[in-house]
Order: sequence, then C-alpha cells, then structure tokens
Amino acid sequence: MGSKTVAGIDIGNSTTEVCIGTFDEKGSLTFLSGARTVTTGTKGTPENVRGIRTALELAVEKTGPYRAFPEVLLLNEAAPVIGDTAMETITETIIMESSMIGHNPSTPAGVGQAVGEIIRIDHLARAIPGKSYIVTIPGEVSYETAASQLNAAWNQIQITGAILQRDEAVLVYNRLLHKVPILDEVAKLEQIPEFRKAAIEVAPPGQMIRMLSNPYGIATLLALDADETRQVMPIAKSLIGKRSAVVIRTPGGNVREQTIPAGEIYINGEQWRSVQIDAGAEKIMEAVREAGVITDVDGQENSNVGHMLRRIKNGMHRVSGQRPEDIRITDILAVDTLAPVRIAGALAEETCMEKAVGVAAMVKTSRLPMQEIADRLGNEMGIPARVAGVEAVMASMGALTTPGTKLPLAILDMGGGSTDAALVTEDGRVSVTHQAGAGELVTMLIQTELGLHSRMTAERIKRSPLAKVESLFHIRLESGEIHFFEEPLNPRLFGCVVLLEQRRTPDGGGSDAAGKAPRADDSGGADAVDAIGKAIRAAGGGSDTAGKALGTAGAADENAVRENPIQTVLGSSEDPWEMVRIEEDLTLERIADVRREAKRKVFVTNALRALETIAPEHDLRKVPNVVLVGGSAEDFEIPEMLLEELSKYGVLCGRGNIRKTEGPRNAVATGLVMSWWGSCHGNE
Amino acid sequence: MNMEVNEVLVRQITEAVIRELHMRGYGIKNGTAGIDEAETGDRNNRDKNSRSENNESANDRNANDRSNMAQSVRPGGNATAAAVLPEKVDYSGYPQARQGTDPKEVVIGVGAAFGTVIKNTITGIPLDEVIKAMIAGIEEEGMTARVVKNLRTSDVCFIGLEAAKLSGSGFGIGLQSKGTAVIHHKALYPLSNLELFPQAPQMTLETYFAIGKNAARYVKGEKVVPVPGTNDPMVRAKYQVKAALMHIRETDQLCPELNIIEWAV
Repeated sequence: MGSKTVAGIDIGNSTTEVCIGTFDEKGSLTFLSGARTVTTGTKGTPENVRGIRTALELAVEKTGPYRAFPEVLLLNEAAPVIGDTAMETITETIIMESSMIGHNPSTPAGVGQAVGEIIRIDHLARAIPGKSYIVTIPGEVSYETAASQLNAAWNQIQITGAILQRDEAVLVYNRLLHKVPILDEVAKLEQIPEFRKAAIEVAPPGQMIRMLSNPYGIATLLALDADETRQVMPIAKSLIGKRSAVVIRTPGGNVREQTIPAGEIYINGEQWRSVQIDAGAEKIMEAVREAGVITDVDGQENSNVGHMLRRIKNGMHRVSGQRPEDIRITDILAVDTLAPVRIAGALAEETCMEKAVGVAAMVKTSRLPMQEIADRLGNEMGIPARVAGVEAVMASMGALTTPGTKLPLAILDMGGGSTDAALVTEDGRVSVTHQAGAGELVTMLIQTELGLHSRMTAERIKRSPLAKVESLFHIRLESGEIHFFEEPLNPRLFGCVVLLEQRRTPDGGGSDAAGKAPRADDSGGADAVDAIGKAIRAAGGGSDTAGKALGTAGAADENAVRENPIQTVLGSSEDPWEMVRIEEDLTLERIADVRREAKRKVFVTNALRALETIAPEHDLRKVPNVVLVGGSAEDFEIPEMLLEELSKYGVLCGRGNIRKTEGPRNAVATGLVMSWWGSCHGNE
Repeated sequence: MNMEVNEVLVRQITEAVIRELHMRGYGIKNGTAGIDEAETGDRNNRDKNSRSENNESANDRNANDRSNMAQSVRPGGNATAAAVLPEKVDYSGYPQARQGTDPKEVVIGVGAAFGTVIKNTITGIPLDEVIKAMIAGIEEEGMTARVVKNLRTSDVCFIGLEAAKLSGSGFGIGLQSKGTAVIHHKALYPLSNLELFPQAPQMTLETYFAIGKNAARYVKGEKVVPVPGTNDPMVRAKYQVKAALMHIRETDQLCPELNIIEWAV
C-alpha cells in the first residue's frame, strides 16, 4: 500500500469540520491540518456541499507550501436527530382595581413606611385637618410647586408620604421641611383611587422593602383582620425584592396570580404517561424517565403545550421534508424557568417573574441522505467520496487522540441541538444515546429569564465572560479582579456591563494551531495515532491490550506537544478580548447567575441522563472516563461544571483536546481519518 | 418641521452672511440692518425681548474697553458693528474658578455670553430654565452641581473638558449659550466625549434634565440610559445662520486673560 491522503468531513448542525491526514508506505498516519466553517443549509441536505468545499479548501491551504490534496473524502453518517426548543409561561399576575404599586425607580427618596389616605395635590384644600395623607403629584406639577404646597399644608394636615409621576422624588424631598418617603416614576398615577387608605414604603439604599412584602406587615399598616390578611398574600408576594411600594386598600382590590391552563403532555413509550405541564419540570422529567424508550410525545389539543409541541413538529417538517404526522418526538427535556412579564393592570409598568417551562424536543428523522451528499461531492470535486462510519463512533475515535485517555471511554458530544453520548468498551462495543436539549436551550433560557429582545444577545452572553466598566481606565472582571488600561476606554462603555469576547481568528474558528505545526507530529504524533488505531482495532478484536497501547501512545506524544507553537494572546500588547456592551439594564451578578444556572439546568441534567443511559447497568460509577467534545465543550465554564458534578461519582471528565491541538473540536473528522487506517488494515 | 430648502431660504442665508461681513467692516459701510432680521426659525416674544436688550446694552458700550483680540475681529470698528454686537461684559470682578475636590460634584461650564448677552437658546428656551433643569437632574441623582463660565473658548467640547478638569469627580458638562451641550470627562481627549448633544434646536427642558441626570450617573459609575433625542435633517438648513450668529456673539464675549470664572446662577 502506498502513501495516501484522506480527508474526514463532519457535517454538524452548525459547523462543518474537516481533517486531512496522510498515510505513508508503512501505514503510519500523520495529521496535516484541520479546518471548519459554517454549515450551509440544514444538516444532511445537498446544500451542505458548498460548506464542505469551503472547509476543504481551507484545510488544504493549511497543509503547508506543498499542498496535500486528499485522494479520498470520508463523510460521517450523521445521527438522524434534530432538536428544537419552545417556551411557554404558565402563570400570569393581574393587579385588580389598582391596588398596588411595586417597582424599582432609580431614585426614590426618604426611607421608611407610612400610612395615609390618598389625596391628589390639587385637592389638599379638601383635606380634613388632623388626618394623615399620602399625596399624589401628577406630572404637570413641578417639584418646586409640589414642595411648597406640601410645606404649606403641613400645618393643617399630616402628610406621611408622596407619590410622583415624574422622576423628581429627590428634588421634592430636598425641599421638604418635614421629610417623608417619596416614590416616583409612576406612569399611570391618575389611576390611583383617591381617598382610600394606603401604605407606602421606601427601602434604605441597597435593601429591599420589608413591611409591604410581608402579609403581616401589610396587616399591621392597614389594620387588616385575619381573613383580609390571607387575601393580601399575593400582593406581598409580588412585592418581594422591590425597592419601593404602595399598597392601597380597595374593596375588591387584590393581586391574582393565576395558572394558565397550559395543558397536558402525553408520553408514548414503553409505558404511557401523561403529565400536567404546570406540575413543573421535575414531574415532567420523572414521567419521561418512567416512560422508558419513548416513541412519541404529544400535547393536549388546543392547549399551550399542544401548540408548543405542534410548533416543534411543524418546524421539523419544514426542515426534514417529512410529513408532520410522521414526525416523532423521541425525547424531551423540560426546564423550569422564570420570565419577566408585564403585569396586567400595573400602574408603574411593573413586571413580575412568571413561571415558565422551557422544552427541548428531539425528533428522529428518517436516515439523512448522506450518500446523496457524498455522490454529489464526489462528482463536483472529482475525488471519490464515501460515507464511512457512524458519528458517535467516529467521535469516540477522535476523542482518543486526547492525551491521557484510554479505553473504555465515554464521550459527551454537546452540540447546539442535542447532547449525544457514546461509550466504547474495551471489547469494542459501542452504545449510543441522543438527548434533547443542548446549547440552543441554554440560549433560550438566558433570553427569557433576562427578558432580552434578541436571541443573538443571549447567544453572546452564553459564550463569553462578563466585566463591568467601572471607570474609563479600569474594568472589574466577573471574578472580582480589576484590570487596568493605559488609554481611556470607549466612553460608550462607561458604567456598562460588557462581554469580553475573544478576538476571532480570520477564518472564524478558535484555535487552529494544527495547520502551523503539521511536521511536529511526524515522529511522536504518527506513532501515537498508530497506537490508537491499533487499540481500536484491538478493541474490535476483543483484546485487552488496548489500554496499554494507548498508555504508551500518550508518552510518545510529549515531544510533539512541546514543539507546537503556543498561541498566547495575553502576552501581546493588545488585549485578547473585545468588549461588547449589554444594552439591557441588568447587573453583572444577575446575568452571570442566570447564565450559569441555565447551563447547569441543561448540561448537568443532560450529562447525567445521557451517561446513565449508556453506563454499564445504568450505573454512573461504572463510566470510566468522559471526554467532552462538540461546540458546547468549548465553553469557558461548562466542562468545569460537569467535572465538579461527575467527580461526585468518581468519573473522570474533561474537555477533549483532539490531536492535542484542536480542543474539543474536530473529533468526528479526525475519527473518520483514523477509521480509514483501520479499514485498510482490517482488510489486509 | 416642514421646512423647505428653497430659493427664498438660500437668499436669506446669503444676505445674512453678507450683512454680517458688512458689520464686521469688510467692505460696504452702509449696512444698517440688525442681525435680528437674518435670524430665521421660530421667534417668540422672549426672543425678541432679549434681542432688544442686547441692542440697548450695545448702544452704551465703550469702545475703549475692548480687548485687542476683539478689535482684531472687528477691524473697522464702525457704527454698524456697534449697533449690532452687544457690549462686552466686564467679568474682571469675578473669582477665578477653583479646582473642585468634592467627589460628588458635576461642574457645568457655560459659554461666555451665557445669561448676559444671550438669554435664550436657539429655540428660545430661557437659559436660566435650562441651567435649572440641568442642576435639578444632577440633584435628583443625589450629586451636586457647580457652574463656571469659560471665557477662554467658545468651543463646546473644550468648555466641557475644562469644566470636567475643574470638577471634583472629573465629570463635567459643557453648555453653549445657543443650547448645544456635551458631557465630558477630564481624562478624555477634547473631541472624544461621553455624550454630545449637537443639535441645539432639538433640545427641550426634559433633555437638559436628562443630561444632568446622566452626568450625575456617570459620577456614580452607573450605566446611563442614552438621552432620547430626535433628529431632524432640516435643522441645519433652518438654523445654520442663527447658530453661526449666536456663536459669533458668544466668541465675541471671550476674555482669555480671565480664563474660567465661578458663575452663580
């Protein structure tokens, strides 16, 4: 057998990756380069060819001055699953009869609580001497007029608080002779019912209100009996976490939190299960577990969840071209979340965090027409192309090029639409599972929970750490560290929470060191791969020497690793990041919390679920070691989260480093090249 | 604003510029028209009043008091110029602006003609209300304001930067008499700035309140909500002459040797 150059091609949901390797006469393998581009069209359709060609050209470019053109193209047999996500709020809050105001104006004034009857400032003349009043001041009254009228009225009546339409609380407060708590920025001031007893509270700086967010506090201030106190419970609950609030005692006034009839989910599997969507994610996931192998999931007709699942199926129908009734949801992941929703009947544009359920569903499609793509690619490029191997198995082989791995090995492939896991045992048996829910669900959770307008912002928040620009010359990083700058920062960033986005390399990829150091792999690298190949073959043959072979492979690699140019951007004069400002008015802590929580909810849950499915006897502790691959494994915190969680079960887990250069990317493409080697030797 | 660029407007502008040249003594000497007639745009009574006041004060001005610089601007020193360009206000008794130390302070730098020879913005908003709104905005955010008058420059960016340098917090606002404003920081380059509000005719008292608020929020290190503004492509055509003339008046009032003075509002 002579030397031969082959290219492995992996078409993913979002990226197309290519790996080029060459075999010399002796059959030892050298990896020449890797590249990736955006997938053109939907995964598994002939439109992918364009993206493949671009990626191939990039990879060939990177093989050095003596271009190595692949003689065979190898495509993966993509897993026939597509994921989608949807979200539905299941509660709504309605304020009845303008009974409360609870919002966070940026500058309320004064501190404390007070009780009084509501009166408009131009009705002060009608006030009964000796009584206590809370004065409402509409926008047309200036702060100076308001303050002087309040000061003048002080002698006749007792003014205990004020509510302003305009943003002038501090201005009025500073001009008052007798200080009272003042609330401002109440847009619909005219709707506050007059001559009703009300309680007002402004929290001290940096704190939340206490009296009005406590049912007994409201009872104390408004002198309620036990029954009435029970009724104000929803008011108190919706005022939790506010900096200022007013509660007005009106006969039918209340705040109602109602559960929207969201409907039931029907799970068809080994067991049939139905579950109310408003029972929460935990109950839904329990039902999913009980159902066993799922054949389809459906929602109650004409209910929110019914529409939600219908939407997903319709989307799939568009993508796959299958008839909607043939589309089967084979897995769902439900996640509890909260979404800020405008309260109906609110006076100051308050929002309330309503309960919502996010659902990721996975749809099994018929086999993707990979052979068609291979034929077309072969014709266009004039190079034989073939479908060579199942995605999960290829990914496992690729993952084995990560230093420090051995069989048996599990991989977790965390992509955009689904989380896939595969376990390759020492005797070469492979078990695979696909789970709904991955990066896209995280993005959706971030978007809803933070109330972001654009999905893109959520996507960027997911990818990059945060910082707060505290002055024109320094930023505080998420970790609390301070970073200084010589030159003033862009004034537009002042005071903002920013994303520290990694500067991109020209081809849009992350690290692409592989192309720069192909020869370094010559000695050690080839041997290592050789050994891995043997290991895989050996594993296929049922030998238990695989582990040992891999052990030596790892050792032989040391030199190759050292010779690789290390790309340290931190040492350069320019900062390694670009700052992108977040337009929404959110604190750094809140964004970071939501981001981490979303990742935990999706990836930790799914990792455990997936590994349990493939683990011998479904026992997590029997999973030997886990290599994380795929786009979401590149994330700056997910691998650490998983390591923390899995270490509880004694499972070794970490971000893969394919071919010691690619990070968690390119596993499948690399596996494909290796499989060529295996198939040649297998045929001998 | 439905304003058309037409021949009439172009002629108006041309005439106004020629008249201004006359007044400055370049050429023809019989120009008697005041610049008031050249000022287009909305005129309200306040505007008129202030103009007549200006002219009155101009009448009893003493040409000998003028600085060399002002004289070089008006080489002719003829009667027309005397009738139009108001008296140069004498600021020699005012205290020099001090360097602030209060970390809660926002310094507002105003133009040389502010409140003296110019009493309204380009659209006729009284300047005392403008400055009051700005100070109220700063106060609402819990910060303090101090006003200084810049006699060295009439460029809004430099007025803002100099104010920022004098400010205990390092943040300042520059405010020209015609109504243009800028929020500045002492460490920035003059033409870089935190926020610039270049279209004076679009400003309202709410805008000035919001500018004050924003400047104070910068002091607190908080994120600011950009001041909502409108943009009218016709503004330039409509107000260019008036803006230029107001700027000339402001520049005329400069007195570089007095630098920057404290200005009680």
